[in-house]
Amino acid sequence: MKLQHFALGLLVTASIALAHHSFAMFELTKDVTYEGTVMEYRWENPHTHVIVKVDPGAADVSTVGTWDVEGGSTNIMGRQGWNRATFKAGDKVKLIAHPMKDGTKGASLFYAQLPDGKRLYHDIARPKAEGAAASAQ
Amino acid sequence: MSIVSWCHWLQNTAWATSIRQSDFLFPVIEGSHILALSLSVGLIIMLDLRLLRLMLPTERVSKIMHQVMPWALPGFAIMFVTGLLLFFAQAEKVYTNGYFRVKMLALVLLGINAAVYQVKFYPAMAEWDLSESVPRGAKMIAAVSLVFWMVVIACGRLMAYEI
Repeated sequence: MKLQHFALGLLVTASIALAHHSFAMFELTKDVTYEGTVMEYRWENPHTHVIVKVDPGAADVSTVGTWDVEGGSTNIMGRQGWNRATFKAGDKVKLIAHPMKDGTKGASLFYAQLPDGKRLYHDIARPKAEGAAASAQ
Repeated sequence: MSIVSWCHWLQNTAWATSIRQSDFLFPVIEGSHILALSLSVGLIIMLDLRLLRLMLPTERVSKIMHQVMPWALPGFAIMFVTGLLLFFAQAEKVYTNGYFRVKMLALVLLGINAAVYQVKFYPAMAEWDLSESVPRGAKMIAAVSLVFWMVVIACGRLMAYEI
């Protein structure tokens, strides 16, 4: 009897506790550079989106096309320095992101490479080599 | 106006947009929607388990129901209002989401399920309140409620995985 209750409780909590969106659908070990034009910048919850169009002739041919690069919530991105005016349609951008596993034209944002050399990260994740420096701050 | 274009309009109204873009409103509404599950579904499960005689079998069903409902109903009201607001904020994306549709279907079914209990079993509850034999129909209703509330919760969660 006790076990039945426990199992049921577990089932309920498990379905709620998957607190947010999983990143399992993205190839997280793969960093792809999408260099193109912002078609749409959607600063919103639960996820911010940058729709970017990569023209033929891009350094990485496999990135040609229109991509939905997905970031985090406005809270998460805001803490990294993003805001609703970071990009606007027509802006040139260079986004480093993890592509979808199934080949759909979508990716999980890692960071934006700004013209002045600075990086705007999506969240607290940093490249492995810089991990030590980031945590030392 | 088609439903899709209505959803498009709804999502782009000034206030739906401000919910979606707010650092404060969206997490609070979303968080409340999830927390209210403990009041609504959490307590309804207690009643379901009692009807199935898996929990508190020596307590009167009516007693449990009268204890549980004054909390479960406000909990459901919170879920309903916050759920509507979350829908408004993302109407266009959510309307075409398969899990959202299954969730809505399951909710309609649960509504019918609860109504059948209210009409068929609630009035005569005193007759079997304490007996070992809960009517088969009432047990069925409890089982349907348990299963479909799980479907609702799972689909609510899975909606986020379908971009």
